[in-house]
Amino acid sequence: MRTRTISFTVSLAVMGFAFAAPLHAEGERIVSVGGSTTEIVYALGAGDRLVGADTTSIYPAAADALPDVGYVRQLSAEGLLSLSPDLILAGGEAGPEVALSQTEAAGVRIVKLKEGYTPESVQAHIEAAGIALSRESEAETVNAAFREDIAQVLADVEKLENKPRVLFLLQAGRGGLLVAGDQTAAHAMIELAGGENATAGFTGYKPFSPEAATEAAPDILLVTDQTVEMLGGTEALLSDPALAATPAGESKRIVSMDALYLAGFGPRLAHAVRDLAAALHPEADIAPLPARPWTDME
Amino acid sequence: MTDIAAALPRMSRAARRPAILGGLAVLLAIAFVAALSTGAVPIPFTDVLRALAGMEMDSRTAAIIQSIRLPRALLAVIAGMALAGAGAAFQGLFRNALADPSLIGVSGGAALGAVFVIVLGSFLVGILPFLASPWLLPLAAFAGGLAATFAIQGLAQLQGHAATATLLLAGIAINALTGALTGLLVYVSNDTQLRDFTFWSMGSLASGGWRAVTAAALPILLALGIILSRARALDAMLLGEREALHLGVQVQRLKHVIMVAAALAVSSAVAFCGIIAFVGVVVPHVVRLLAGPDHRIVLPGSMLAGATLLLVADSFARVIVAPAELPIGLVTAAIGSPFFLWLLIRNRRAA
Amino acid sequence: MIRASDISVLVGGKCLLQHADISVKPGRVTALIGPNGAGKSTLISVLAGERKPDRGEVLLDEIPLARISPLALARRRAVLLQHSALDFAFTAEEVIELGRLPFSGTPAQAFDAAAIDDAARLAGVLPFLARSYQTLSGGEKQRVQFARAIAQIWRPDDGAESEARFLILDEPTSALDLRHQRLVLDVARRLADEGAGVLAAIHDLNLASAYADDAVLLKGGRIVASGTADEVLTAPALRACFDVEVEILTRENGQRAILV
Repeated sequence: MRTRTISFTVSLAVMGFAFAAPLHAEGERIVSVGGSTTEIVYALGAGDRLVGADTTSIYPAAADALPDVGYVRQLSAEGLLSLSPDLILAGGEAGPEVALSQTEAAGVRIVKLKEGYTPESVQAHIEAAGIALSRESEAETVNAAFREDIAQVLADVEKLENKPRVLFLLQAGRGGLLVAGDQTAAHAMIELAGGENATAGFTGYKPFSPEAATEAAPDILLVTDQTVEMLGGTEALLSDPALAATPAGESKRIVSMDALYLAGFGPRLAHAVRDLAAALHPEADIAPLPARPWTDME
Repeated sequence: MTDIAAALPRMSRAARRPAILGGLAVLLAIAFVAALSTGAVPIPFTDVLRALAGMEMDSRTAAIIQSIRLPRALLAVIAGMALAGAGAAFQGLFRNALADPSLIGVSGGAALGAVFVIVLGSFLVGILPFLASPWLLPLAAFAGGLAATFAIQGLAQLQGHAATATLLLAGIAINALTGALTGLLVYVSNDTQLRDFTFWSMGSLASGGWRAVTAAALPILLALGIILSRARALDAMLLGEREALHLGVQVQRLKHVIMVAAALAVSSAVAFCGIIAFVGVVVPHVVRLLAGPDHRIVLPGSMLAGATLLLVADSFARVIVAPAELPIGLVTAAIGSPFFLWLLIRNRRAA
Repeated sequence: MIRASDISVLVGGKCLLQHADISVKPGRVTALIGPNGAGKSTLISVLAGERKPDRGEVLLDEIPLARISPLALARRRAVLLQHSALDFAFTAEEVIELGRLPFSGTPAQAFDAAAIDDAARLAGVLPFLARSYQTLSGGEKQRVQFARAIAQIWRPDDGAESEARFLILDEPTSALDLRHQRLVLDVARRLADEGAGVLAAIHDLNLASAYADDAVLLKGGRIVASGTADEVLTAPALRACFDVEVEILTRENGQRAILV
């Protein structure tokens, strides 16, 4: 986990030359809010201009070491201002509104990206971020590669015959397991990767119920690494009799991926879709994608 | 006739009243200036004063002081006054040093209103677009707090007059109901909504823009004025309801007035700040230990001390994990819970 | 004068008081006597204006109590109840000061200090005025509450003609030792001599006979005898009221002793 002392030292060091920094775009100080937004900033080669990010910004590792401006929906106006940013690049979920408007009133430029869970929205985010960061050409490079990658994956997925039923399970704090309905990132990912969301038909996340799980009859259970960690292993998942009795439980087919990679809808989307498709369709031969600079960061 | 020299030592506690209130006011003033001077952005004290005086200075510093710290500090002051003042009045009304407006459902109702908007707000706005407003949540919390209070009063009134025991039982029932509905909404909420509600229920003064301050100030100052005007009647209530009646207090009317005023003050504070624990119980108790139970000092003293506590707690909340901030409810609870436990043990021993 | 006529109080189908007539006259001490459960406390709460009778009416100087505001009533009469629990750390003096509450904001407020002082002296609580009420013994607490009631009906001794005041005491001597029982009733007697009307529910028949001008015997919610103390406190009447053998001895000086 990130340590407070490090981010404090960084922020103090950063403050030291805050006023000496030239004001043209290359020297801009940026705060990024939202895990995939931060990924885009790094993908556009502007990671060295970041002076702060929120708690959900955990990729690449460098983002995790930045001063922490708090949870994505619990930002503090003065906390943001204390980093003397010239630009705040915020994902759609950033909030609260008052903190952003107060920061803007203090003269900080804020660019807010719209929420969305499609390959098109990822490209729009990259393009908008490119404009905001004056890195239009880099944005076009990333987008070109992304278009190529996603087209290849979707073409491969198109050729698949069967569509396994996938049940996405998410551990949300004390709230127990949640399953994903329509208009969720998990639903969109399953569809993109050539699966069928076993619990479609309602909106948002709903609490898991054993009977509904039986009725969903999933072939595969999809979970995040974080959920597995919280539960203490995939065995814990199968210890639930309802889940164990499903086709997925009987064949012990569980796919686990990093939450941000799986559901972030950032520049790594095409690779995530490919990895998920390969996991959902072990029988098919889905070609790996070429590594891109932003998919291979430490 | 009274011998003045003999009367002097006996009057000492009454004579100390202005001194105690004066002292608390000075503490509040210090905490206020300190709150304006602390924050994630280091600003020299002289610049704070210059910004307050409206003098020429760089625009970012001016914006931080004038549009972030100042309204936030003012919200801390009025919310602290509301929570501690309403708590003190409640304890007097129910003759119980551990009573709290949450007994009559204010916080439970407000929480229900808040979670309703957090979970179903986007759905509601989808049907009724005119509802889309940053005011929807505070309004719903405010309405929830007042509605729960009126429901409890109404239930207690069914017997003709609001007997304290009936009132408390009705409070338990309504609190259980709002708690269940809140739990239900939390249960069907998604991850983001759950996080939003969790943060709301831990309290924050981050919504303290100027509009929040002005919107909260009017009902709170009105309610606190009403509460202050009933100080002596509350003193009489401490003797007992019948004793108060025989001293000329209209007990039933007093109950209504105090409950509505306290609900108004607390709902307004909760609407903009979320749930901030312990201020309403701990602060009046400290003032009582300091100055005795006379409401002429407990009420204004609690208001001053409550404002001071919230200012200090918020200053901590803003700098401990800067550039992020802690929910203020955590800070007040961290200070409040050990004290509260000590209070319980002490009361148990005394009983 | 406080005059109650034809008072009936029903609670849950049970008759606590039936057709009770009683009056409390200025300048006189009226003793209310009866066994436990006879309805003494109920009658007192009706006379104090705290409880509305189901039938009948209470008049203060010919005005129905129902038409007098609690505040106006509080300026005329004080009530001392049997049990007063106070869980807050008022000093004894602050408790007595609350007796002056009905006069706050009136010209009579000028007399607050004198009233508190006088009441404290009369009730014998001067030595512990500054102490916390919670630390006092049961008897001391009762006398502090008594002082509060005195302070409430205290008037300056300036000879000005004013409306009569009333003092209603529910078992004022219950927690007191012999000396202080005497002290409390001495003060009640003295206030009556100064023109106040006093009603006291008293358990001790000898104390009642020693201090009361008038007496009212209550049994099972009915008044079984009323009149001057000498007329009422007779062996047959007391025997009928309490269902025990009673003998009354009279000394040469006219003092009577009631033996049970």
